[in-house]
This record gives sequence, structure tokens and C-alpha cells, in this order.
Amino acid sequence: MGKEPIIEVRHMVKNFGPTRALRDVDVTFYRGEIRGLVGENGSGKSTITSIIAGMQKATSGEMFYKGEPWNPASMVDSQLHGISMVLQEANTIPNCTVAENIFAGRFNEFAKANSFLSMRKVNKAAQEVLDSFGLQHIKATDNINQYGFEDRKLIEIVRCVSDETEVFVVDETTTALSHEGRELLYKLIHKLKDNNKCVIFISHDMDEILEQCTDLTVLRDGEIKGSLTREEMDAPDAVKKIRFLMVGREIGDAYYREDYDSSHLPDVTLKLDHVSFGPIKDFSLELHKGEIIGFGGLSGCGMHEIGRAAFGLEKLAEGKVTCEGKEIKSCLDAIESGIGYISKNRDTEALILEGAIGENIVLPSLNALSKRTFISPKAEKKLSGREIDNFRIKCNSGKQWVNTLSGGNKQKVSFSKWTAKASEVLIMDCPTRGVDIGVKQFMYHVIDEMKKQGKSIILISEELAELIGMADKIIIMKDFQVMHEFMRSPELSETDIIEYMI
Amino acid sequence: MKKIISLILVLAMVFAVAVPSAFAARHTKIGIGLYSDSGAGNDAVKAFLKNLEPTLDCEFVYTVLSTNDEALNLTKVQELIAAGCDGIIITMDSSMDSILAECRDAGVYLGGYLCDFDSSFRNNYDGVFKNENFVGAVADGGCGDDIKRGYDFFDSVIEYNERNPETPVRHVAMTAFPAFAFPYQQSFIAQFNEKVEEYNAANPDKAIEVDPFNDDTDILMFRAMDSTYFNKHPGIDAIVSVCSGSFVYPTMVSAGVSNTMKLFAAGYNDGDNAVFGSKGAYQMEIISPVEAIVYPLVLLLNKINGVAFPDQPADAERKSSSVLLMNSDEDMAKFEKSIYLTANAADAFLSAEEVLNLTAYANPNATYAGLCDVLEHMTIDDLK
Amino acid sequence: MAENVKTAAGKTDERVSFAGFIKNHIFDLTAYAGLAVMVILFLIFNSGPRFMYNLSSVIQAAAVYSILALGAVFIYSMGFMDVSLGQQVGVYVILMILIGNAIGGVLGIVVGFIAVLALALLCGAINGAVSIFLGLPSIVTSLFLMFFFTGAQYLMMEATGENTIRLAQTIRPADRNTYSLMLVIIIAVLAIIGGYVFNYTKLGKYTRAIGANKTTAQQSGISLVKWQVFGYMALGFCIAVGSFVMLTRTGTAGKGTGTGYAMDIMICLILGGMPLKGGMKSKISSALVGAFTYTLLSNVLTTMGVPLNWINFVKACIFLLIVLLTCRKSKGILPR
Repeated sequence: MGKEPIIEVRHMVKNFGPTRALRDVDVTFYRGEIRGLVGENGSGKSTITSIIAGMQKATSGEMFYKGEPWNPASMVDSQLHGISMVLQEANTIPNCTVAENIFAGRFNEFAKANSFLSMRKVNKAAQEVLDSFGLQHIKATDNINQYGFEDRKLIEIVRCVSDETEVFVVDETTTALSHEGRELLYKLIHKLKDNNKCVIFISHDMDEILEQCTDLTVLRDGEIKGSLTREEMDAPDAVKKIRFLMVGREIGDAYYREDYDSSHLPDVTLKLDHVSFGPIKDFSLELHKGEIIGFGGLSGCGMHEIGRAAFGLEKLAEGKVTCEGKEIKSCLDAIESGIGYISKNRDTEALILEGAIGENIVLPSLNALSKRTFISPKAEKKLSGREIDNFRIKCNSGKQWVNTLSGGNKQKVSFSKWTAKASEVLIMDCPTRGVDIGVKQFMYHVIDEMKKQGKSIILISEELAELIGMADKIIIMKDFQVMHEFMRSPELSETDIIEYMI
Repeated sequence: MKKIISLILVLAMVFAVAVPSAFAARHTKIGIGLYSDSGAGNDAVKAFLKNLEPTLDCEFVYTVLSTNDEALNLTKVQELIAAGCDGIIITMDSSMDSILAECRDAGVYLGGYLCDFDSSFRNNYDGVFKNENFVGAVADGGCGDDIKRGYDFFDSVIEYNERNPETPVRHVAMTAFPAFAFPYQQSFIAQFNEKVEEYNAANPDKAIEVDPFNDDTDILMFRAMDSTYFNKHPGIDAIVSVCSGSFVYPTMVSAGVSNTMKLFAAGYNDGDNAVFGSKGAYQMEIISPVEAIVYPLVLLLNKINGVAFPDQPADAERKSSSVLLMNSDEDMAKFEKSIYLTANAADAFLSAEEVLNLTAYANPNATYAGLCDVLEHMTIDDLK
Repeated sequence: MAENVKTAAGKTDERVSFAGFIKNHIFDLTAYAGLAVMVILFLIFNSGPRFMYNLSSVIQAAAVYSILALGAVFIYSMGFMDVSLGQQVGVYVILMILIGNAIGGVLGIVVGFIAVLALALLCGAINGAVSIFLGLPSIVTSLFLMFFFTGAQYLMMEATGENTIRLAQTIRPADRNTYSLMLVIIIAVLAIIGGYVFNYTKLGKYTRAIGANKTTAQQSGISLVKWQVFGYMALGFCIAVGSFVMLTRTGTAGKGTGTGYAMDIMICLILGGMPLKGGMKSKISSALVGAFTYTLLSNVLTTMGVPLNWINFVKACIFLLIVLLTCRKSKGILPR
């Protein structure tokens, strides 16, 4: 290749009990490259990088870093040696300041032995680092709680990267970032590449991978299935080839909806009538049977709040939400009226992670299952079993805990809660976030089927391609106001929409 | 695996501690329910009883009762019965009906120590004192109309004044526990005032002023005295505390008066001897002798052995015992050599043989009157 | 090891071997280990003519704890606790004695119990509702009730002018075995009802969901106010019954009756394997397992003749050990 290897992995095996996450993997990463790692959930891409970055130990195998054997004690140890990683999940310390988060684990750099720590120095150094990243709007002395998910993710990135960073792992971080955040990150990784560092970039966003990476490695079921060079990534059938390597089968061209029929039944199921709450003023919407209305915009545009209000989670200052004539004042009202809600905060709001799959699926349906106080375990098992089969949730049984599932399977559980309840109206907030393409394709198929069955769907998404591919009508919001509406059309493209978002 | 090994080690430790005592089989087992699990008094009574074990062919086991949880006390008695006790001595008047029912069911006898069983005596006499399984109790000092503690306080104040003519006590205030818990303490106060009135009439030049009893500050609700006491009683030379001095002395220390003001108190607490008499504030203390436990013990042993004194009363009784009253350095010096502070059985009023001789089964000439007489001769002057 | 069999839908159908069963339930099984050890020690050190007496003593001592713990499971499964539990017991026993003595006869007892039951359910409703309406942690509301009941207990006893009051009539069967049987029946009935409600009705399932994730529960249609109130009322019911059972046992009450029971119940539940943060892993069985383990622990230590000075230390060691054995490590989560 002509490039200098920086990390070599030889015969790496990682087992989690009976599950083999990595099976005898050999891979080399080089300086001056942005190596994309792609694969379905459970393919092992995050496992390799987490072992390299010191988050966990391999079951067997060897690693070499800069030619020397590499066996990091912890992530902090890795970072001190120049290997840093930023993850998809929140990894900041709540209730601490931004500066404390940036330098967590490294305070002895600011204190002489046996003397006091100078927080003034820490704060100053933190602000300098933030400013160097173009993040002047983040103040080092602020409590990190006051910053949203995206800013916290940017703070994590700042924490990870320094002049000493040799290898930077980005593990599905971009899903949390807005357009500006992503641009910032792309600039950073290209700068690192130009400075002969190595970037390992994990993402499910195929466009992003093809645009930003110099090389690509594809994993499936804990093994490397193939690699692509830059030239191969530029080829016209690159996406198809990559998908084939990832899934092990032809995924076909059918991904989003194939029709452009945005017709629906005339019945209005969900109506938001001049609702005002918080920064949202005088918003109205009518959702019909068999209709998919998509909401798009940058994060913080107000679309997530609309979804919450439609589900009765927001206290309205004015106006009302009704479902088939019945006013919705709480989520209890919403559910009883047949509305289901898939929150974008899957792990904290949509699911009980420390609970069984079956228990999660039947939770909204328990009221209906209860016959004179008795809830039959057989009925529960039948209902959850049906959904597990329908959604092909990969699990041992309904008793398996949700936190042992991959992201895609967790999302399937989120969906199945409401299909089990036979909800007629579904509000989906970022339903395919952090989900691999195989599962995404499946979800889109399910949504399409729901439309055909006459169900009403609100689809809130930060992925324009998804909205264009699935929605009958797309409402674009910015600064808590509706900027424009688009009807489904084969000519509609992202460039048409973006100008109303930014 | 590590957890299983840890479990085995803990069990081994428990066995190592328990098994030796389990194998120390003796003829009779007596359970003692004390009201605390530590302190000089505890150590002293255990030392005294330990010394009796070989001679009486007895084993003593201990538990701690609760001052306020009747159900727990019942459980503790049940555990003692479960441990194989033939007789039990308790220090609380608590759940007596249910406890005596347990004793009846198990064929076990019950006695009282350091408690006058006043509530049972007044409200449930037939249920307790006529109960076949109850042998009687010895109070913490006096009980019933026997008690003239107020006179003792008065005598101590006068003795102090005689020893300290330059700095006599001329102005006192008093403290007591609430009447519902310790009804006799109010009579002590009345007795003290009665004696002071008599004294003042006969000795107007040495009159002693006693502040009127103030319910707000002078009643101690089982916690340390509030420092507002001193605002309510300005100018006093001494406090006469008919309740335990441990509720008064710390407040005197924190108010900075412990070097000037004197304290005449009931009870004795660990360390008080270091601030007694010429060394500090305490000028009088009273404690029941630990040897008073022989009263219920002997009666229990008689019952267990199926004998009775020829002059045994029909009903169980509650008896007063003499007390160890210290109101001089000489008294304290004697007390310091008693079993209470030395925990040495050789310093007790009674040897093991003497206790055995008090029983009817070992000594056919032993009488109930003789047993009661022993209780009268455990004063500071009787200490060797 | 389990055999994985692929079904037509591509789902694996695990047929679990005995070793696999043990492995999957190791934490549940070790929760019973403490009880098993105590039972074995009890049998070893209580053989002899007093065995039946000792067994009935254990049942009596464990009865109140069992009943209170059965109710407390509903609260603990929501991740809450009730520190006013002991003080409520004290006040209720006093009330039953006062009403029972005032009215007399069986009627007095019945009226006393009904009054106490109504009060207990009301306090449960207050405990459950006020914290949500005022936006306070539930422990704050129960602290308020704790202080309130402590004061009430004190004032009631002051008004009687006695240190201890006793019920004029005996409400406990004279025959010891009959009394033990009565207690076993009460415990069994409540355990069956509790088990049914906790495992097969909305109350049990919803309280566990609330403990696992309040937000998810709410977004799944569970009214937090309603089920929190019901959960506390379930505890209130058990407090009323437990107080009655305590009255049958001692026949007396005083200023300190019930003191410390909130902590005792927490210890019982911990020993029974109840996760303190509640959630889906909560089990109603932890109430009985823990109550009997706790009672047997104290009983066994005394009957073994463990010296008084050592008992608390040994109890602490055994408690720590059982917590270590039953604490649930979160399973390793596979990275995506």
C-alpha cells in the first residue's frame, strides 16, 4: 500500500459467553487513512475498535501499535498513548462542568505533586481547546447539563483529540450531530489524515462513508468479509457491493417505498388544532387514515416537540389535540385513543432495558389483556410471541432482556409495542436511528404495510432521504415554525428541501 | 466460586465462636435479658454470674432487650427458651402476659432484676404476681413506698456542707424523669423539699433554697438536659438530679459550669469516678449492687429444682435492694474496689458458696427471709 | 450448554439444559441460599423436645415481618421505600388497644381494626399521591408521615399516663399450636393474594415497570399517580393486618412500639434478594424468604450460644455475605 501501518490486529477473538463477537480477525490500519468500518449490528466492528481503544479485553489474539505489542489497561491509558474513541451513546459526566469533562482523568497535568489542583488553569486550558475546535459558543465553566446531546457529543470529541492523538475512532457518532456538527467532525478527521494520523470511522450512513473515507472494510458475523479501496468506492456499483458484503445476500433495490401515490382516506384521525406550547405557536395539522406525514429539519427545529404534543406529552397553552374527536390531554388519553409513540430516545424513554422483551412488548396492552384483574401469562406470551415472529426479532426467547439486543432489534421491540396494541395512529420519532441497513429496509417495509392497512403515521426524521423515500407529505420546520410543505414526488430531492432547513 | 468460599469461611467463624459454648453443657441454663449490651454494670454482673457457674452447676446466656419494642422483647424471650433456658431473668416490665404465656408453654420460670414491675403491679397484679411461672423481682434500688430516696439526697447535701463549710450548697434546683415513666421520682422531690423545710426551720442561718420545680425545663425526656435550665435557675450552687446524672452532667460541661456547680445524682456511669468528690462536680451517686440478682436467681433455681422456702409467700413479690450510695471520696474509693468497677468476682458481696447456701435445694435451712436479708446488706458500708 | 434450534422464522429456540438453568438463575438461586443455610442451622441447633416450641416461636416472630414485607414489595418494586412504616404500626396497635378497651368484646376489636385499616389506606394514598403532586421524592413524604406518627404515638401514650398499655381481653388462641396455625394461615393467604396481585394483575406489573423506567411506563399508558397510590395502599393494607397480628402476639403497646421496623423490613427484603432500585427483577417471594431468613438468623445465633458481644458483628458479616451473593451484576452488554 505504501502507507505505514500503525495498528495491527492478529487472530483476534472475542467471546461474550456463548456469543462469538469476533472470530479470528486479522486487520491492519495505516497512517494517513480514514478507514471506514461497516457492518450490520452485531458484526463486530465496534468490538474491534473498543478493544483497540482499551474499553475491553480480547479473549485471545495480539495487537501491535507502532510496531510494539499493544495491551491497553483502560481507555484513559489508550488516550494517553494516542488512541482515542468517541461513541454513539452519551459519554459525558453529568453535573460536572465542561472543563471537568474535557480533562477528566487528567487533572494531575494541572497540579504539582501533593499540591492543590488549579481549576483556573483547567478552565483556561479547556476554553482554549474548545476555541481551537471552533466551539466558542461552549463555555468551559458551564455545567454540562445545560448543553444538549449534540454539544455534549462535540465536547466528547474535544476531550478525545489532541496533538498527541495518533488514532481516532469515531463510532457512529454522526447520528447525534446536526449538519454543522458533522461538518466540524469531517474537517477534523481530514485534518488528522492530512497530518498522517489514522481515523477509523464507523457509520451506518452509506453516503457519509463513501464521501469521507479513503478505504473501507466490511464485517459480518465477527469476520472481515471484504475491503474496498478509494477507487472501488467510487465505482457505480459500490453501494450494492458493500451491501452484499454486509448482509450476505442481495438486498435488492427496493429500500424505500416504490410508489409515488400520496393518496389517503378522507377520515381525519389525528388533529392538532392551533396548538401553542413553549416556543411552538399556533401549529395545526390534520393526519388522515392511510397517510404518512413526515417532519424534517435540523435538530432543535421543533419537530420532536410536535410529536410529543401529538402524544399528549406536552402541556398546551392554547389549542387542542384530538384523535377521532376525542381530546388528547395526556399520553394515557393518547394510548386509549389508539395512538402509539416511538420515542427517539430509545434506551431512556421507549424501552425498559432491564426488562424482558416480552414484558416490553405487552406493556401498553396490559390493560386490554386484563380480564377481571387477571392477566393471563399465556395471552401475554402469545401476543409477544406473535410480534417477535412478525418482526423477526433476533433473540432466544421473549424472556431475554432487552439490553442484550442489538440496536436494530431494540428498535423492533419499540415498534412491536404498538403493533401489539393495534394502534391506528403511530408517531415515530427517528425510528431508524442507529439501525443497520438490513433492519432499516425491514422497517420501511413495515411502515409501507401500515399505510396500506389504513394506519396513520407521523414520521419525524433527521434523514432527508428517509423522508423523501417514505412520506406522503413532508413538513419542514425551522426555529419552531413550519417553513414549507412538500408533497411526495419522484422529482423531489434533498437539495430542494435543504434550503428551507438551514 | 469466591463467594461460595467466603460463605464457608463465615460459617466456619460462626461455628468456631458458637460451638465451644454449645458444648459447655451444664445442668441448668438461665437466660438473662439485660437492657444494654455494654458498660461496667454489664461486665460486673457477667463476671459475678460466671463465677457462680461451677458451684451452681449453671450456665448463663445473655440477650439484650429493647426499652420500647414489646414484640422484640417477646421474641428475645422466645429465643432464650429456644436456646434451652430453664429460667429467665429480665430487666423490663414489657409484654408480661405474652411472655408468661410462653414460659407456661415451655415450662420455664421468669424473674425480674433492676426493675420494679410497677405497671404490672398496679394494672395486672393477678396476671403477673399471682402467675405460677413468675418468681418475683428485685428493683433497681427501692420500690413502692420503701423508697425514701429524697431523704438520701438531702442527707448528702448536708454532709457535703459539713465537709465544705467555706463553699456550702445553699441554693439548689432539681431534675427528674417524666412521671408516667418514673412516678416515684416526684415523691423523691417532695421528700427532699420536706426535709429541707424542716432543716431550714431548725437552721435559719444555714437555710437552703430550693427552686420550685419547673415542668418545662426540669423534666428530662430521656435526653440531655437543655442549657436553658441554667437560665431558669440562675445562681444555683448545685443540681439535685433524682434521675440519672448522665443526662445532666454533659450539659453542665458544655455550659462551662462543671468546675463550679455541684451535682447530686442517681445512677453511676462509666468514668464518673474521675469527676467525683474532690475531683469534680459529682458529689453523690447511687447504684444498685449487681449482686442483687441473687434474689430472682435463687428463687428460679429453687423452682427449677422443685423446692420452695418454708416461709415462701404465696404470691411473687417485688423487693427493694439496698443501694451503694457514694457521697464522699472515701465512699468512692471503696466503690472502686467493688466488683462493679473491677469485674472481679472476688470483690463481690457474695461468694459462689454463699449464693449456693441461699438456695433451698442445697441448704435445707435456707429461708426466704434470709434471702431478703441479704438484699438489705449490700451497702457501701458493707463493702470489705 | 443450551442447544440452539432454528425455527422457520429464523429465531433460535433454546432448549435449556439443567446446567444452563442453574447458570441462568444463579442469582435467584443464591437468594434462597441464605434461607437454606439458616434452616439447616435451625434444624441442627434446635433438635430435641423444644423443637416444636422453637418452630412456633420463629413463626410468631416472622409473621409480622412477613406481612409487612409482602406489602413493602409493591413499594420497593417502584424503587421507593416507606420510612414511616414502623411508626404507623405503633400508632395502629395503640389505637386498636384504646378502641378495643373502650368498646370491649369482639366488637371493640373489629371496630378497632376497621378504623386502623381505613387510616392505613388513607396514609397509603397520601404517601403515594402527595409526592407526585408536590414533585417531591417519595421518601420526603414518608419522612413527614414518620414524624407525624412519632408525635401521635407519643401524645397518645402521654394521654394514657402509662408507659405501656395492654388490651384488656385476650385475642390470641390459648393453645400455642392453634395460634401458630392461625399465623401460618394468615401468612399463606396474604402470600397467595400478594403473589396473585404482583404477578398476574396490573398493580404488580405496573409497579415494576414504574420502578424499571418511569418515563417508559408513562409513555406506555401507565398513570404514575394512580398506580403509585395503589401500591402504597397495598402496603397500607398489610401494615394494618401486620399491626393486628402484632397485637395478638404481645397484647401491649408503648411509646416505642414499631420503632425500627422500616429498617428491619428493608433488611428482610435485601436478604430476600429484592433489588433496592426495584424494577422488573423484583419478586414477591423476597418478602417471605427475607423475613424468615432474618428471623432465623437472630434465632439461630442465640440458640447456638453466640456470645452477646459477637451477635451484631456476626449478623453484619452474614448480612454482607448474603448481599454479595444476591447482588445482581448487570450482564455484559454486547457492543453493537
